[in-house]
Amino acid sequence: MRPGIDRFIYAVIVVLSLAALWLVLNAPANFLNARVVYQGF
Amino acid sequence: MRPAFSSTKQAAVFALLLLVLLLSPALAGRKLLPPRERAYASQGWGSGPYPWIRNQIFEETNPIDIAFMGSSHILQAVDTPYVQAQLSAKLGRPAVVRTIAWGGSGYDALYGMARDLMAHRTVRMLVFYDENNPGNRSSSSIFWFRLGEDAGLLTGLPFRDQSLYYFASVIGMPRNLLALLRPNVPAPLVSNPPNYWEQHYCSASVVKLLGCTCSELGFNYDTLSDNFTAYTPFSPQTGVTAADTEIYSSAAKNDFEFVNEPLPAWQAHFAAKLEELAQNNGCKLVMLHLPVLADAPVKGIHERAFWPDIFKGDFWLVGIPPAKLFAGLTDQQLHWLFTNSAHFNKNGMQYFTPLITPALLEIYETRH
Repeated sequence: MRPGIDRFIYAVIVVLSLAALWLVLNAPANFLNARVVYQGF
Repeated sequence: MRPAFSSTKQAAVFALLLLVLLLSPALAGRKLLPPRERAYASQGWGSGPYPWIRNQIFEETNPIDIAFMGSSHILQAVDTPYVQAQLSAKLGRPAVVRTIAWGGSGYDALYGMARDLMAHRTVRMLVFYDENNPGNRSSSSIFWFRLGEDAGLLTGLPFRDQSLYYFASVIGMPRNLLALLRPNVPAPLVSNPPNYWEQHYCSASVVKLLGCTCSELGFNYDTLSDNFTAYTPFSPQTGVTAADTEIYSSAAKNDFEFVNEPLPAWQAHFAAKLEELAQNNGCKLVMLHLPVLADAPVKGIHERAFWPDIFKGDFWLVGIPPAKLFAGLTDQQLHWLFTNSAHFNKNGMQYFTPLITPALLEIYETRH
């Protein structure tokens, strides 16, 4: 494959990872508590 | 150092996986969402009295005269069968009074669930309290907020709040997609062993109590976990009567004191949505001031905003000055009314409800 495609895919991964990180950091802790979210307390 | 991916193909697959995961609410749209009823059915008793809430929204169909809605403070504050009996006697017909309440405060959840309720049932009067939660956000948006249906709700919210609801819909997607393949079976309303509220909070059946919970528990002094002390039955003998309950009016002298704190944007946003919803459905809105333990010596009824500016339509504000409500009670007697700093136990509920009921019935019947 061309190196340009490699760079593009890695750039996409970095951008998406940063987006996911933003969503996680912006969310309150209880949104990330699988026990609360999926099971109840 | 080993590379993160052994080939470009593997990296591309990972990128695609991440993309699908993050875009799943948008990709699913409305078409791939199961009926809203299944979102509620995914919530068991442990997350809140959701089997009851689902039943009231999606199975019962008769009009509701008075619905008490909101988070845990109102869940444990109003003796719903008492109000229903009083309203029935006043109207000369069987009245329908329900509490539809959950854990975790916020105007977002109040709006979301009130909207679902009013989409299926007529609600003549909705009683709620100031859903103030400065530090936390209810995780219930993970099931009630679904981007495919609710994207319009994000308009006007700050970016951070938009991101938060988007993330809620991302987290909710696996359950929604699973419900397409295999419908959730709702938890039974009556079960043996008893449900979480009956066991953990020592309440009688939520169904028999028409949606409220009535805890026979003493005060929990442990701020980190639930270590309730023994329940002491107690009926306060104070001079307060139902006549001490006040309905706010700009024309009359009363004890309401408005601080006028600016509401966080998301609270103002969903409060405005609630007001619009009530107006569109011909539903009266009543905000009930629920006292907390720390309020006991306070003479006025403190409100953090001038609510008539936010809820402009058929809206009333009701409360009792805490210093009158708790007049003459010792510190120990005060603690006999609560399970913690903010939630009534059975004593508190049975003391508070008859005092505020006549004002609520008056608003229901006569005020327009």
